[in-house]
Amino acid sequence: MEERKVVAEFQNVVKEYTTKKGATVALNGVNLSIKENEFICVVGPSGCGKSTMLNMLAGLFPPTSGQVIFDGKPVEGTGVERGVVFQQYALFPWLTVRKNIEFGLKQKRIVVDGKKSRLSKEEINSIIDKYLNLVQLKDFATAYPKQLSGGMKQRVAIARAYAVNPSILLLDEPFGALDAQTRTQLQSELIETWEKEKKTCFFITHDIDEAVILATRIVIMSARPGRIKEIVDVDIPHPRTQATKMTEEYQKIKNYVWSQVYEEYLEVRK
Amino acid sequence: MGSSFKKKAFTIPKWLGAILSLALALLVWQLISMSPTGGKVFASPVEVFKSAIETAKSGLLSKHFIASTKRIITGFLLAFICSLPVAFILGWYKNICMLVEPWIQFLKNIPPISYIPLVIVAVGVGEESKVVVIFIACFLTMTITIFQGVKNVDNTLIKAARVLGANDFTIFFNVVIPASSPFILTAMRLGLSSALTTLIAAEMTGAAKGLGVMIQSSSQYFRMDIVLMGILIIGVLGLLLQKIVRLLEKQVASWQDTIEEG
Repeated sequence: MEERKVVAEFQNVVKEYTTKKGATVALNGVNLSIKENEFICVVGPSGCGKSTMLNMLAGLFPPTSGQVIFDGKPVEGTGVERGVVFQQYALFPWLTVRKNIEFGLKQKRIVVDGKKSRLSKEEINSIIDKYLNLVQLKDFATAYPKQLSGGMKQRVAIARAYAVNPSILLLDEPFGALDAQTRTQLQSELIETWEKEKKTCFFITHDIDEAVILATRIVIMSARPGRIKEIVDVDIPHPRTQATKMTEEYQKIKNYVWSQVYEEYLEVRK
Repeated sequence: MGSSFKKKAFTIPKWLGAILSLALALLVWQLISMSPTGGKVFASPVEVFKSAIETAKSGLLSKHFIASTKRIITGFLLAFICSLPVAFILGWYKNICMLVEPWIQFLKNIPPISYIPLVIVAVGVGEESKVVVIFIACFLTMTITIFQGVKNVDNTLIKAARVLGANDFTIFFNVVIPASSPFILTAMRLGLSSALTTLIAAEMTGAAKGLGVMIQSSSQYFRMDIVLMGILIIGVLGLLLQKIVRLLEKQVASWQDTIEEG
């Protein structure tokens, strides 16, 4: 357990934004290693730089100083090994569910006999079918995003990210826009998928319940300028279900994380 | 749509509604033509219909109609082909946009008809001058509209494509273009509209044939029946062109929220 491979690492990461009002420090010296098969949830008050961390790991923008390392190399730009699920779903509205999942697979190049080649049509189709089944949207393969509910849209986005088989999945408050019921359902599905595939996940949320039920480690951020306040191991055994939320160990961790985050909320309000 | 709140006592079927609406319009028209002042200007529906048949039989109508339609289509298509790349370049390259966009906005406010003297000096009074004026009108309108579309492409979609491994080329052709297709179709509609407006005005300033010419010359003989007919035909032509774009829209952009299906 302790000797797992490090997938990604934040080393002294600082991020400043320049706005009209001047420079704002979003992140002020963040150090974190993400190991293989971990499910990390990042919680903290708004504006603590949670999403900034994710965006830098995704390669959407660089840190001001420090380094974000992925797979042993500093992150430079985006890469298919780092899949992203956005809060706003970000499905291509002009493509059907099937074609949305296909988008990444069409870009994907695999190395066969030392040569880069595309996936064959058959390979692409079998991967799409696999993930359509996984997110239970087989019957909606030919539907357009506008015909889907929010929960279904986010399932498609998750399937699309999974399909290209990244070595880490970055999820930026993916369930933030969903109603409570749908959110719980998608959490359960995500736990099941993780239990099956053990895909390394880096999950941003402001929902502490969500963090405790999903995570193997919770990163608590302090108020702006964002720093890591504390890292909490969630050693609740798997398989986890919604019933896990009733257990004493769950409640204990939840209360602890809540008290820590609450301190930071108070800090923001000052 | 808006009537869904009202109690549905009885709903007139669509075809009957269309007939009733047409009948009502003809009635109002007839009444106006019978009134003392209105009668001077408005020929009655029957008179207009008669002269329509008369001019159609003599081949005069189709001569004017074809001449006008040709000019619109040529000017519009040329403008469309040119505005697409220009709008995309403006939307994609911020620096070029900074230099060019204010001038396009400036030129857009000038009625294209005011260029006619310049255009005539440049290309003569022939067919080209009309096409060039229509081109200018369409090009500016369409470039601005398509440009807005490119600028409004949801940045999250571009990010999503990028993290799925798409390069700039793929993002441009498989994300930016489809995402702005609703704006492209709106641009076509606006472009055709301004083409029609500009054309008639351009023809009235001098041409051998065309609907604008027909209206202008008939008014000199006080043939208000032909004038009215010409006006109506321009209206029908406008509707027809809009309908074509509408059909295209259903094909290309049915994924949009705003377009109802069926």
